[in-house]
Amino acid sequence: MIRYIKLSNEKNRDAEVTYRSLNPKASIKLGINSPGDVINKRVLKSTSTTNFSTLISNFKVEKTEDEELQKSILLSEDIINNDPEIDFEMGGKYLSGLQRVYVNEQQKPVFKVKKTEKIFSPTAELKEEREPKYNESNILDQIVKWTGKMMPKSKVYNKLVFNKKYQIKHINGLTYDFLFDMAKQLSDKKSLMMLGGGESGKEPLVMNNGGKSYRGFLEGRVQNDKYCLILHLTDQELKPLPKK
Amino acid sequence: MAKQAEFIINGSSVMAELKKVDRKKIYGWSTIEVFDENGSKCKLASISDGVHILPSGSSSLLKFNEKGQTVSSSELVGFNLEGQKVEKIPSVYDGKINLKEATIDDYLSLVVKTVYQLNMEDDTAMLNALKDDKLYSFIFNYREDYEGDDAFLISNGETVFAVSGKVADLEFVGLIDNEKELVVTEEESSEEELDFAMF
Repeated sequence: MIRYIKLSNEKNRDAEVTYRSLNPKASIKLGINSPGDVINKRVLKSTSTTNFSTLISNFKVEKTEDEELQKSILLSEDIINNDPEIDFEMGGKYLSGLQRVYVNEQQKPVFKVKKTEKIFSPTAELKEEREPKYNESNILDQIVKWTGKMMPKSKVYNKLVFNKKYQIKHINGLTYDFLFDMAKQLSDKKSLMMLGGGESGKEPLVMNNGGKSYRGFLEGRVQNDKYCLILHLTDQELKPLPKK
Repeated sequence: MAKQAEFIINGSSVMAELKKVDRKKIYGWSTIEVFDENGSKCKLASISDGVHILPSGSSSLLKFNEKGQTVSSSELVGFNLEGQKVEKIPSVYDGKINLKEATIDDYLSLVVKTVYQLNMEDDTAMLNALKDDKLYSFIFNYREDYEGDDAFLISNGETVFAVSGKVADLEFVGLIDNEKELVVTEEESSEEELDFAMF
């Protein structure tokens, strides 16, 4: 599937171009006698009626300090004698086409839920509770702006962690010129250009609806009449762990 | 004492502990909790055949051979893209790590997977070797495996980092290399419309 992004240049002219993820594919395949001669299948181990938490809740013991231990001992004996953890009809069944659902503590499906987002500090203290934020993508309906903030590669490579990369490509002759000029300009200046999204053109980029927001930087490389335009995304500075 | 890896840099040996730089430990993190109408905490589960509820951990991914028998991971060997068997690449802890000089462009081609901070008793030699935008690359494997990651040693002047991941397959594109949508031609689509035999 081709994915599109609306990008503007230093003259604030915009064009719709395409991008693809640069996530590399595995160069090694596993097998026994030849690559890929084993297949992976998802297999059922237990259901909601045979999993540990359901089985242990079936035992009633006196409320003491070692209540959980007592229950575990009873369950162990039951497992040895009666195999309640095995569903002989379902166990080992190949699974496919599973649907996702929320279940409550009684393992019953729930159709109306309330979500809360909890924000923790680096030291695991709860800082805030709020309704979860939903990020709308801002790269197709809105124009991703060339902010003019040029950052030399030698100054930025050891300041930020570029954890996602996309390659941007043209779709026709006009957009080839548009992107080639950008790449040439960045390549000549050995710099990355910070990109901004949203109405203000300064916000972080959100590539997909419901996705995370990232700061975006554009890198250009040129070989004769060919170009390579890379969109680097980052949500982390390159800095050491805080000292305890 | 934590495990240490031995780097050979400018002919001298430097022992360093690789400590994973977890984003959570720098910026914190957030989790989303889900509750039902009665305030009972909910978890994600799967439904099989529209009937059976499968809580998290109810299933396993198993490997099967052509006869349908289960295969253990230890029986598997690695093959390269040409279909040839390959040897395992040792862990960075199992031998000396030889470094190769690299450029900023090489590093910027890396799709980053993990960042490690190098803790050393004396980091002077390493910091000196990495100043003036010098970088080194090496093959990184935390454990012995058939496929190693690409990694770079870089410094911000105060700390040395090993950044691992995979170097992206960058493509230089010319005028004729534009993206093309797969469009069904008019001839093909009209033929399909007129093919009443399929009914």
